[in-house]
Amino acid sequence: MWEFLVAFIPRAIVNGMPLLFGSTGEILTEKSGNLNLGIPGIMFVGAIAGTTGAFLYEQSVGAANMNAWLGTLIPVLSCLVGSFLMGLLYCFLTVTLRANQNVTGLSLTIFGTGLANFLGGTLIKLAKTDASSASSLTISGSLKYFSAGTDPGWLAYVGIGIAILVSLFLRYTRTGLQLRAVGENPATADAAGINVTRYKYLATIIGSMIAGLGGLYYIMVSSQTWSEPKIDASGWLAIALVIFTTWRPSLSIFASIGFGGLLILGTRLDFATEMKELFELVPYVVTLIVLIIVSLRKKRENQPPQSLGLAYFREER
Amino acid sequence: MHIIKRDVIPAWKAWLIRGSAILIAILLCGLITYMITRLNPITVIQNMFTGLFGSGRKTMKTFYQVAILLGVSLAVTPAFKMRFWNIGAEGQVLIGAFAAAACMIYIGRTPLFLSGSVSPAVKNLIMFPAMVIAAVAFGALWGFLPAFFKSRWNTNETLFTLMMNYVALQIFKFIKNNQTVPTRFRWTPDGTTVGMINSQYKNSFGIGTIPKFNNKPGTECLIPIIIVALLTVLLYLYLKYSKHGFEIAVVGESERTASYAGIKVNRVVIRTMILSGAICGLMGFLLVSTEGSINDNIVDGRGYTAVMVSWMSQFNPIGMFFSSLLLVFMQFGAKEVPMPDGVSLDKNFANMLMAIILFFIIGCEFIINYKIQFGRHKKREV
Repeated sequence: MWEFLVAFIPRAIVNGMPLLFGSTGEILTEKSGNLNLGIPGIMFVGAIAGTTGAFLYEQSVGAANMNAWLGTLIPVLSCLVGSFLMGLLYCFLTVTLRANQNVTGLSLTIFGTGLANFLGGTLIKLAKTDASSASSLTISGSLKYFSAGTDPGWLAYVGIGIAILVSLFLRYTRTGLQLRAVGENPATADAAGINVTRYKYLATIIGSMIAGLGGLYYIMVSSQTWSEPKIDASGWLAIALVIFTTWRPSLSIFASIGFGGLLILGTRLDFATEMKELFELVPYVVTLIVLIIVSLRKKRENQPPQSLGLAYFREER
Repeated sequence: MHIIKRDVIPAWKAWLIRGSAILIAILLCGLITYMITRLNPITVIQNMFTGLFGSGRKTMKTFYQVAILLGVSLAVTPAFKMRFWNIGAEGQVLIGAFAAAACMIYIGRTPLFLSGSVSPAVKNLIMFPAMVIAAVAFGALWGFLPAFFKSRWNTNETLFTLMMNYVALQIFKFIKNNQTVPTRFRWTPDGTTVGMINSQYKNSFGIGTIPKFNNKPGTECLIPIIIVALLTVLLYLYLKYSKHGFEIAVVGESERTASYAGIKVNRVVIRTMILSGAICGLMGFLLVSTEGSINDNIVDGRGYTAVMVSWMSQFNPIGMFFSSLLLVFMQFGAKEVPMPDGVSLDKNFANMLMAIILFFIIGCEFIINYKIQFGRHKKREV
């Protein structure tokens, strides 16, 4: 039993971290009143941007001559740039142009999934024309900078750190309070002199950059290769986690590891391989139950931000 | 600079703006395609046309795809008109398809269906209604649940329907991968490939699969196309001229107005979502019954695309038809473009372009709804 847990828990963390990044980013976003359903697409773009960066760097200098700093920084920075652009696009459409958030978010997911898988497929072909005949992207040189193989790697600590920071930020800082005010009632926040547009932009863009790192983690640590990654499933689970934890990033640390564990439990237990799909079903069902209970109990602190999903237009009364 | 809300703008003007946005977006997409492939745009379009409409069979298949996407879009429309954000069409279609396939498999195993003395007509007379009822019932159930909780406790329907998609998928996968039944009645042979359900029937009389006329391939698409065409007309009439349709519109405008007017909002919400789910279920039935098989990916994102189709055509059935046609043309046409070295145009590429078009349409709604005033802010009389 003990041996099983020692082997199982790190894998659960490895599988849970993309969810933690995604849910932390989405919580920050939702606290500003933006329901960003583009998270799966943003995670995809973060992943492909990071992978492309790593791939190009590795191709240009050769796996043997890679510098540890550059090998780490290039994927992370390209991932952040990619997800930044996605967040900016979402904000421009929903905040500046006041478009419907559901439709924009879904378009973003379709866009990101399409772009990432297309580029992933193209890069695979480019890689093939080189000496390697791998059917997946060769980023093996960069992988060692993220994880020694099976351990969760430093990026996992970053993820936990970000979750704690976001949690503290929302709860204890003045800016966090003002951000929550924007999400609850933008008109009141506006009247109190808070710049609603700026808060929405910043929260959503930073949120999507955090989520983008989840995509990078998925490739660099969880799957360690690019072959038809199922990042969209992680993205939707991350949105489920937001509800499951009732908008608390600190809870999400444990919940995401739990969900991550459930995703692999079926493959880890010998006697339960046929239960694989049922274990994978559990996160969605418990999220539904939490969603129902939260709405049923009507406890104020567990409710979604009140203006979630609604565009704010100052002159509309 | 100052932004103000427009008064209602004439419909033709709104459609002109939308049309131009789509046109600009398509030109941009063409440019992107050209930059990546370096192919003559005219050849690309020619290839897409011959690939999709080159023969009678291809045309039928293409319009079948249009019909299914249009059908799912029709299904989500009543709910959207009511401002109920049902993004669970993916799961509702899948669970309907699953129910229909389950009928084919489990009813197809009964002695009645195994015996050769019963005529195929009789078998189909039992099979088809059973499949339709099961598919519609399960689709409706998937629509009912979020509506029930929404109307009772105001549970967020967007998140609820989103979760239900995965609940449907996992239940389907669990049963598909684990049900051990006699080989020839099995679910798809393995997790990924498409297997024919009841394939032993397929050539002789095809129980539960939509028949081909004169055994011509492609003709099996005719019935789904006709069904969806009828559905389009019916739903248009339902939304436009029936009392239910009126109630949906009022609830969508303002729930408070609706309840003051004596409309039972909860009942309208539940009824509309059952309808929405039921149509999704019916589409699931059509998918299984036309293709004769089922797999994890049978819905293939149509549930999400349908949200876009419905929204970008502003719930207008004619608009929805053309939107579906455009999206199917892109999604399935991309495969027909010859591949230059190293780069393959595929569905992912098409989805990317589709999203770009959507961004333009989303953006242009701003021009339709708002007006930008430059210079000094003039006070408007109220």
